[in-house]
Amino acid sequence: MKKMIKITAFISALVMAASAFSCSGRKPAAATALTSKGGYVEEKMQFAYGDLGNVSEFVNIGGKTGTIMPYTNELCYISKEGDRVFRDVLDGLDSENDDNIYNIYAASEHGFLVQKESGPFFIGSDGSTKQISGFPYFQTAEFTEDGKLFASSYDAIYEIDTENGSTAKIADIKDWISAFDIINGDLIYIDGDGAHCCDTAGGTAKELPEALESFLSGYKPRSSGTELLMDMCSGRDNDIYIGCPDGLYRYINGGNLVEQLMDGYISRFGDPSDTLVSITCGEDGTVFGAFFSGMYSYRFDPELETAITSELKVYSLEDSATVNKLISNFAADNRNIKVDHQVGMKDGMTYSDAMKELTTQILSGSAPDIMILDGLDTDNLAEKNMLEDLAACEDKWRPEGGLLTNITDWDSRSGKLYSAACRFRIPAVGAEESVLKKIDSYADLADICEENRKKHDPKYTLMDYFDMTDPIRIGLMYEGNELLGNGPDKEKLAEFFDTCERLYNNDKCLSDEKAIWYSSAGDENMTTDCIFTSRYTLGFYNDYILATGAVSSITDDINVLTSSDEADAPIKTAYRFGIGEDSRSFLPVCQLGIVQSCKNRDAALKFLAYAFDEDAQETGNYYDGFPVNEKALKWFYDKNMNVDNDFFMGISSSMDGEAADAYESLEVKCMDNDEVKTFDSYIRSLDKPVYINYADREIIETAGTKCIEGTVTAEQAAEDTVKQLELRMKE
Amino acid sequence: MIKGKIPRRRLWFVPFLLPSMAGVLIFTFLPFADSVRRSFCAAVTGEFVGVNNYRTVFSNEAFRLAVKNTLLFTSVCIPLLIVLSFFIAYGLSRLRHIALIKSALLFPLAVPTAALVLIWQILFGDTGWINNILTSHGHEAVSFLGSSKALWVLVGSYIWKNLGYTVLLWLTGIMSVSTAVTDAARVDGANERQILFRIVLPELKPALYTITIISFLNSFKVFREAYLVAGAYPHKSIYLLQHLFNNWFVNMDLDKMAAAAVAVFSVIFAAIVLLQRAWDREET
Repeated sequence: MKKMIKITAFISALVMAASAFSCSGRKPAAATALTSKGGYVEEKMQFAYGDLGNVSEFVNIGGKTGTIMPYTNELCYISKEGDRVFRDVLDGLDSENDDNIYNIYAASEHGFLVQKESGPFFIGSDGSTKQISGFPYFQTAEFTEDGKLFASSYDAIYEIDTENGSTAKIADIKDWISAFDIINGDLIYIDGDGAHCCDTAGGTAKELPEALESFLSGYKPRSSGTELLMDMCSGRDNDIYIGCPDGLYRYINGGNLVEQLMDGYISRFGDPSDTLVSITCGEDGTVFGAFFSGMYSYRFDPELETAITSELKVYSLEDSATVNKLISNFAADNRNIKVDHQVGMKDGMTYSDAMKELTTQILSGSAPDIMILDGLDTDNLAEKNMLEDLAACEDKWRPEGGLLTNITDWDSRSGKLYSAACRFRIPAVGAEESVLKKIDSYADLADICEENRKKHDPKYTLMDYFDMTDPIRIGLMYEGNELLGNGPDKEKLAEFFDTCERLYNNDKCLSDEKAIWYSSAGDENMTTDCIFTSRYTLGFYNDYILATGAVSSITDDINVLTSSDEADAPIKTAYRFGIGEDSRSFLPVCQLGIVQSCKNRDAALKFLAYAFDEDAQETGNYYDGFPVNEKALKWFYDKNMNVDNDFFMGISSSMDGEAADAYESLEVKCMDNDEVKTFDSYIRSLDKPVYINYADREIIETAGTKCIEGTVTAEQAAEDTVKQLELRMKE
Repeated sequence: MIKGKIPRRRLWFVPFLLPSMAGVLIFTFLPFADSVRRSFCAAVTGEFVGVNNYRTVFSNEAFRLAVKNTLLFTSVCIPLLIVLSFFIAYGLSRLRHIALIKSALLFPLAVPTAALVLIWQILFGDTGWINNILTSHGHEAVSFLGSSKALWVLVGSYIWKNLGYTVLLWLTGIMSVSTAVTDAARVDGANERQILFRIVLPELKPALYTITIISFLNSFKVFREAYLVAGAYPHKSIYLLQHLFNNWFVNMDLDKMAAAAVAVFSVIFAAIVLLQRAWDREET
């Protein structure tokens, strides 16, 4: 007995001691005010014609510095003030009235190296054209100041004789080239072996300064692609400017370091949804960058506050281009706030490990300030008072013009709001008009897919799914609420898995070699559900297409769908939001919540306000989701007042291998006022959010994948799923 | 008992103990004490909630299921392991050259858990070897890992892994029994059965105590195989306490986890104390 008392006393003493050492208490934010000023500022230059696209490198022709658009043969040049971009036709480029140029490798006052359908051509300043024989294409090329032309093919670097079109090898290369620029007569390029330098006068190799060589060698070509990773240009003070995904850098010749002028994270350089084409340095030291999205200027502002006064920790479970873009734009506009974005499931980490890491952080007092709640169990977090009530401080983050509250406040609980969705998507289904009438459920899609499989050549894919989880993921968008709404339903799950199995196994061509894939994810960050419109438009020429997925963008989805109604296509297609009639489902995206124990509440509220602000809602990737800001919506709707916002979209009219390049053009017009009213009224009526947390989705996908593989039957998969979900609920 | 001041020369061992004591204090006792504290507080906010967490845990269905499964597992495995390993050890003790066998006995412990799990999946999976044999002979496939039979797969795994090590422990104990006593018993006319139950077994009580504790603690390690084979939510027959703790940690239910951990510790501690007392009583 005495022993028990002693042990109990010992443990109690330890408990009291543990409280003293416990590190879960709140610590006040430590902000040290600094006084550093001065930094580079990025500004987008006005250009009345939208994006630049795949233009040439910067070139100076007739005193104008700009880039050349291949399809229109126009020079997009920088204004004298350096804040606008104008267009000017280059007569010399299209002297043969040949509209066949689809890439301009190099341009100068001495001529152009262009790619046509039949191969590369040199067009001289006098308009004469010579084909460069022996090469179907080049990767890149550049002129020297005195008119010499150097180009890189897949195996070597060549000097091209502009007189007769012959080539002479200068150097072999390993893998591809990731950078290729001529700076002050030296050709600097990066291949699989690292950075190299070659004297263009004699064609001999030269040594690069160690600091520059070491820096450039960090940008060797990626195994996954052949794109250039950086561009270089000479500055005005015996220096070199380098634009790469990590930002804008400067190297002073003879120096021993490469200085970062602007972080890629807070500029276009690091934006994965954009592509850098070229940079150039102006007379006054302003650096200009040409990206697919437009032209930007980089000027030093001595008054710019760059001292970090606060830190903001943002946590998201999965990596997402939407979140990355939001964070980098916020960081760019708030240089005094250091944003630390933590992705839970990074580098192959599982959900379980990610949550354990998050729990450990919270326990140790390092909880994030903002959580992107997509995929997380918001019920659990709200129950534990982990999240702040946003309704209590909505004056600090709701914008003046208002938000679509049926979307943003979908997760309201007894007047409290723990998370707010800053974007949303709408599931949709499309097919030939008479076929769409037969579709009332996901199972109906599988029935039609099975019928189509029997009728059509096995080489054609019908649903265009990428992975085995695609039918499951898309199916959950349509029927997730029915499957899980009132607890897991075994019969419905069995039917669901059976549908997924039939869809996947009837979609795929039997042989990967013969399969014809028709949709393209233009951005590697796009998931299968983002490609609805691309699939739908192919239905104009192929009656077996069943388009599934979700719509996310007014410009790239809704305008295309409404324009397709008036298109003169051989097959009359139709689409519907949701799978059944009168669906009011939507998918909330990018749900933001502030952690109760956040250390920097002001910065967190600022981030929230920024995410819902009109400007942020008007920009972003087109697959991010529809905006919820009323003013931003109106801005999109009002685009119908300017016909310049209309565009043409190419649609492949044949899936047959021989005629696969046949394209038809669809004129895409902005929604007219009636269409705007219909769409606006519809999105305001949406009241059925489809939100499935990652843990449940993982259980369903694992069971569904086994069913699709044939390892288990649909009933067994449903039984396993129900058991696991019920066990999870019991905990 | 000597009363009064302890002579200084008797405290010379204290500095030698301090480093390990400090390590045990910092990495074992203090964290456990923090768990005890957390068992009376809310998970994230740290607010004091009294015994609410204990009430929640004891009324939680998943906890009850996990406790039931864990008790069932330990009550099946430990006696089976002890009895089986003893008879194997007793048989081996009769052999002369067992040095090589002794080394081989430790082989299962050296096999990494992930490799072992792979073998179980190959053998017991729905399309595994055993099911292939069954179906090829016209029988229906059996879901070994996805039905109540999963418990027996786990029991088999536990026995296989720990048998060799336990046999070694028994062997050590059996070898330490004085041959003079057994020889004297034989001279007095005792048969092998009498020698086993009247001399050998009583001598092995300290070994039995050690083996029981170690086997009990090792029974918790089977969670690794169960988790790798069947994930965080396996068939309910192999849903053990560690699964629950793991999932509570993932779901940030730290309050419930702490309360359950303290409860489980109390039970195990009480069991060990009772066992110790029973042993001490027999000694006296």
